[in-house]
Amino acid sequence: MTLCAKYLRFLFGFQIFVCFVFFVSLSPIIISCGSKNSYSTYAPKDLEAQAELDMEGKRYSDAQEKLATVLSEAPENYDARSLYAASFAGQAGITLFDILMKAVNEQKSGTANQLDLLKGLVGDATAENVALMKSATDNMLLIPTAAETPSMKYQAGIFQALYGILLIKKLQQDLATLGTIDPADAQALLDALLAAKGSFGTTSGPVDSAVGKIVDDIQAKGGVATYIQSLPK
Amino acid sequence: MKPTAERLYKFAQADFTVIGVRLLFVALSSAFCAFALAAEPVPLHTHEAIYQNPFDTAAGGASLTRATQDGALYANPSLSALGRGFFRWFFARTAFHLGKDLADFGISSYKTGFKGADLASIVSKAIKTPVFGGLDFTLGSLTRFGGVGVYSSTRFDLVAREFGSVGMPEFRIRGLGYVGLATSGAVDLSDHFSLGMAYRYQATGEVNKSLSLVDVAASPGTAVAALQQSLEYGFGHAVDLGATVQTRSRNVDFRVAGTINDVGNTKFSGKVTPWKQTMSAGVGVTFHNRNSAMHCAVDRRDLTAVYGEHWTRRTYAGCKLLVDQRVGVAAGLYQGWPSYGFVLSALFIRLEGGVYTKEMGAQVGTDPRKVYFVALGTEI
Repeated sequence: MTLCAKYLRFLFGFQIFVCFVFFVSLSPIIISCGSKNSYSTYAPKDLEAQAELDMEGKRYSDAQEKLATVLSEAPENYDARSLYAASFAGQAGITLFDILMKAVNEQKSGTANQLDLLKGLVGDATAENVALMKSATDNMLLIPTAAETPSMKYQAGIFQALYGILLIKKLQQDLATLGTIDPADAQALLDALLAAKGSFGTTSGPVDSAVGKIVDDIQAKGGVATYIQSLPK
Repeated sequence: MKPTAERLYKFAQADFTVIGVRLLFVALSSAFCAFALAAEPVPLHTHEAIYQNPFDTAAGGASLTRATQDGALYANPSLSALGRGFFRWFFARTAFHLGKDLADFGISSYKTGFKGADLASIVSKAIKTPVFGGLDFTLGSLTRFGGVGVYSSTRFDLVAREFGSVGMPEFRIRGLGYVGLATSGAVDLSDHFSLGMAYRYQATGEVNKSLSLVDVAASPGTAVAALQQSLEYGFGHAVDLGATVQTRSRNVDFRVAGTINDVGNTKFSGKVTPWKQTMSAGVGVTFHNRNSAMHCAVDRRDLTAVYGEHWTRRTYAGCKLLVDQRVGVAAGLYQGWPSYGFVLSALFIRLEGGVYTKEMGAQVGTDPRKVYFVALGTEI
């Protein structure tokens, strides 16, 4: 065998061996198909970040579980508290991002009535949705004013306003089906709208101006009951 | 050399190698035991190399013990001293990095043309698509005694979150770019040990800002102004040190390497966040013949966790296979995420491509960006 042939045989054999070692050593990576992080099992659990990811994926119950753990260890973590509140609102079908997107469509379609516009932003006034929005507003109220960031304040205002709108829908349903409304719900509606007004302060967005108008109308009609009765069915 | 003197010389070499290996082993062991939980948002620059050859990135980013071409100047300044001959490479390379999310969005938009979609869903999809991109450029030359090169690197990441840190929609804008001049010097104290030092003069710019919906909606002008105000830039001098220990045989080499980057902390003029001094170590093995080689390595960056990152973010591992110095494939775990790539080299042209995943969150698995890259360069 010539020297050249020997060399070629060695080269070929070596490369086959190296290729074999290469693919065997990397088989776990190749099998995983690039979809998972191999170290995630060992990484510390950032519950807040994971809860945020859960919420992006609409897994609100999972997010609540994680945030409840965070808050049980650090009740003064107001960022987590605010996120926790948003998870209840999200579960009720209310997210600020969706509201923004709906507003884009409504603006395009030219819906005129502010109350109708706001009603379109919230889902059905089921007992579950009302309870979830109450949890959202209650959690926002647990954040002290001194610790509130402008974002938290705005979020609190939006949640209170939309909780109020959800209550208007519920009271309209109750009036149509039962012929009467629960005074506790009526008081809750007024409290929510007044709290929303307080949170918005002097801002002049479409939601705050609509809330201001509803409060004015309630006062002009002499109370929540007469205001609900005056609304078109 | 006389027999006695030769024995003493070999003994000294072996002793030095063993001491070096042990020291690095101790450093590696302590690093593997280190545990730190990042409580604050991750700064834009932490332990990562200022520049990495794309083929090395595809190989999991483990380049401390063997770096490809231009990467050797920035990964470990002692590497160039090991090997035969005087001249290593003249290199010029441009690399483009594009986030998979943006690429997918562009492709689907082109294919469907948003037929049947309402305005809100288009806006929603456009806003929620993370925009990640980057551009690298290097030009320089490397010899066994060191090298000189100019480099620039830019990365930007723009993402909208439906639920930001407090539940409000949030835009996160991050960008880091730098351009600089690098020089390095290297010396081999024996066939088994080399030392190197690199100096860089660098201009750095960064922006790192989260804007909530309130910020943007209340006053878009103010939000843009806040973004402009968060842009920082400055100039700084940086020094890196490197050491590599190797044992060689006909077909198998072992290497252990250590680096100290940003010696004494790299401070910049202006308000750019200083880059902390970090220590890194890596181990590697190479199976080779005259024309082909397979190198597998593991790097642990920032051994003492000065940036407070968990080891899962600081660990890089992978293999690269180069056949006849013409065709190569690489795969690895880049911060635990799979990475792949190839290289094709013909005449003076070198084409590299692949995919890796960059973690943008504080912990691995929380905010990944899958990134495609392609690089075109010349080599002599």
